[in-house]
Amino acid sequence: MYYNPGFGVPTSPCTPSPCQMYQAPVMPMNPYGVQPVQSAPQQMMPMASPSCGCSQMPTYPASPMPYAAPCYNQMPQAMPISVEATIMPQAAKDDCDCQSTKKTYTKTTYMEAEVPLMQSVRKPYQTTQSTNTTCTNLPLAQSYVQPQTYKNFNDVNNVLTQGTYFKDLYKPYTKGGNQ
Amino acid sequence: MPQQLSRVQLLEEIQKISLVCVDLNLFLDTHPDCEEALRDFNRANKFYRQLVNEYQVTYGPLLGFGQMSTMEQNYNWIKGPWPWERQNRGESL
Repeated sequence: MYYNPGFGVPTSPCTPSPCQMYQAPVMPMNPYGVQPVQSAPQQMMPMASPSCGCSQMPTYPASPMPYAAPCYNQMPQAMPISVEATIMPQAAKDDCDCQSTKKTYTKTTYMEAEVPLMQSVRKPYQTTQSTNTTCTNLPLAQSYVQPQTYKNFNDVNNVLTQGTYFKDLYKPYTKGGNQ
Repeated sequence: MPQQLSRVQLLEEIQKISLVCVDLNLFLDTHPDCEEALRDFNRANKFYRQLVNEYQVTYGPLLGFGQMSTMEQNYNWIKGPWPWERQNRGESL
């Protein structure tokens, strides 16, 4: 090369820590993943009325998560329908003083009586668990960003052909994968 | 004194350093505290300006305005080869 600006000489990663101070933002967990989904039904409160028939309206604490109203259209097909569980009736019994609250809620009565639309939307997920994977029943994806470190530089004479000064970012497209 | 580069060679050197500057610029956007990257960026930026200045002194302005301090004698921008003229000469840039 005609000029020698001092580039393209491998150096050690930026130390001790200036580069490492950068932290990718922490992404919230997918509320429809395996663990969060277990607690999602608890946050669908309050319901319209208790099953005991009394006029006392039970209230429930607000959801601590930002996903208080999950969209069931986005639920992965593998999510077990049993996650609806019976958290609802227990909460209703605790909040209602009348004696008729011994009646047990079930998932079916909850789904049909209180959120009929959810049930109708959810049915396809129940019935397509063993069918082919399509764009409509794929589980949600999660993206991530790996913090880049200051190392592995390209030679300046290669930057135009590889399109980057960082070797780690050189990802040539090859049909069919690595060839 | 290093040998004189042709116009095309010098343009290519400018493009290389320009891309290095762009990449370091992007890296510093997310790592503003990386002193090593900042140091290299300043060196690359300085070197880029040297190359551009050398090109413009030798072969005329790279852009119509904004780079040369003045158009000394006359309007030099029009004297450079146009893109179709470069192609006719077999030059890549």
